Amino acid sequence: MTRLALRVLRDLMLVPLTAVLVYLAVMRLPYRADSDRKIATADNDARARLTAVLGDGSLGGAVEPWRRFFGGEPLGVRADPYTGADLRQALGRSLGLGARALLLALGWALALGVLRAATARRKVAALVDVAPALVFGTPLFLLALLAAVTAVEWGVPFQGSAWLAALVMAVAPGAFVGVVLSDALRAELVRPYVRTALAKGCSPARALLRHALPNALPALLDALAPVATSLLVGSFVAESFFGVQGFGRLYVRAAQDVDPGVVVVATSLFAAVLIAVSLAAELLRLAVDSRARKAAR
Amino acid sequence: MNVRALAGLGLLGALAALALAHAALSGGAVACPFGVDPQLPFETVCAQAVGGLWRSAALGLTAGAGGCVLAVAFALLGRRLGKGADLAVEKLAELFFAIPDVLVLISLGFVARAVKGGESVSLPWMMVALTAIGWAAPTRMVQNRLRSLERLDFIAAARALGVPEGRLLLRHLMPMAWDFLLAIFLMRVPAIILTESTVSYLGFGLPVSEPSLGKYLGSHWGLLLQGNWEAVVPAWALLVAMVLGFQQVGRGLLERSEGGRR
Repeated sequence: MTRLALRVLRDLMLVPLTAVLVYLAVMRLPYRADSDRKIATADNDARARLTAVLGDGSLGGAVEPWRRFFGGEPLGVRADPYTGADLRQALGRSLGLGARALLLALGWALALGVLRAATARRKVAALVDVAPALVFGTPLFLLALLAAVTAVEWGVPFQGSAWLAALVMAVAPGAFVGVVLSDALRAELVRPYVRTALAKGCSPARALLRHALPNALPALLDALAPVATSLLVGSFVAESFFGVQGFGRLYVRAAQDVDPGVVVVATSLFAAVLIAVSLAAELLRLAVDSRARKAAR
Repeated sequence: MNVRALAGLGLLGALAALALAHAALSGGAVACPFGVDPQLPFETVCAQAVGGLWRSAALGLTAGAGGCVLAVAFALLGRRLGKGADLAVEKLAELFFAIPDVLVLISLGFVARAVKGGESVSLPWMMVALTAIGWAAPTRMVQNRLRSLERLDFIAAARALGVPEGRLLLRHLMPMAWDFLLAIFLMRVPAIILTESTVSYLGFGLPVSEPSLGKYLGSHWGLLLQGNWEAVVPAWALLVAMVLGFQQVGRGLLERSEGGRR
């Protein structure tokens, strides 16, 4: 229990540590104050404007972006800056989008995993394997492009469509989880309890879905962190492509426009999300897997 | 060599033949069947797509090789310096691995824009950035492979005979890991190409005048919505074929390497 508490504490400490490190790094950049950069102001004193908005760059100044984020005050150094409220709104939108994408990914993963496991060692197995290979070999923006072209052909507006964005975001993590699930199912299907069930007259489909599947599901915990990473990267691309006003798009635009305040807050929040997912996966594993609990003692 | 690796090699061979044929025919004897690039009318679609293929392949191969060299160096250094250093390398690699490559490259793109200005980065800059972020996954894989090789009997025998640690690593362990290293190098290449193409699409990549496949597609995708498939599909097909080719060769070699070990 003490080791677990220490692990949680260590992971939680990483969040403010990352935020401070990102702040210090961003504040120490030698910004180029030329006219075409958004950071340059009328008096061309980029550093003074930066300090006015984001603090003096000292350790204590690291709270300033977060005060503005939670207070809803302007965070950017552009002429028309993003405010903390804008960022919070975009974050909420992205979390909603991520939840939809996760649901779609799990549905697609379940279908792919069961299909791959059911067709293993058959002639169609190679055909089923083509789907994940194509998904892993295609950049996400090309999948978005395909979805957009299809939407245009069907007369569906794709700009601003959160469902289309979620669908595109779900493709790669779904394929990854599907492959992990099918590998776990294949390992379960050769175990004695499944052979016993089959010998007693259980149908192969029932043995797969009622016996092997529940035992294969804990293997998905290993896939949680890569899925979170994949959804995060997916949000950059899908939100930018479909014009969804989410956090990923906002971050990409802030980096393009050299907007340090937004970059500090967004990078720290992304790190916090990844740390939280990793921690959640670890705690879930301890909750459902007695072998992991034993190893942790 | 297994069927998967052969199929991948065939695909890569066909791409190389296509690129060489284009270079041989680009003197004007044969016109590009896809016409000129609508955004750069002095370039043909074929020249842009094949040029992008070379640049993407160069980026993938260079950064993949660099990442693998760093991975081997870190893994060997960790083992040479003892258990504590080995664990430190492992934890550092895990930490780096948890951060998405695209997020790091966007952050680096932000830094480049803030410090240097301009909208794009140079090919060498992109190679260095991709190498710097690509060492973590191979490091963990090399560490795992070295640990599993160390359990083999002949290693225990060599150790019992008093073979020094450095010699054991370089003369006994590493020769056993070369095929595995080649496999992870080949599997890193498509991952790097995909990462670079995503970052280029988002506007943090190479200049439009010297595009990689990702940059070309990122700046031309709108043409597809106008029904101009000819300008986009060649680069698209080359990107998917190259990524699939490297993936299949890498996975095929990895399967062979795993099979050989068992």
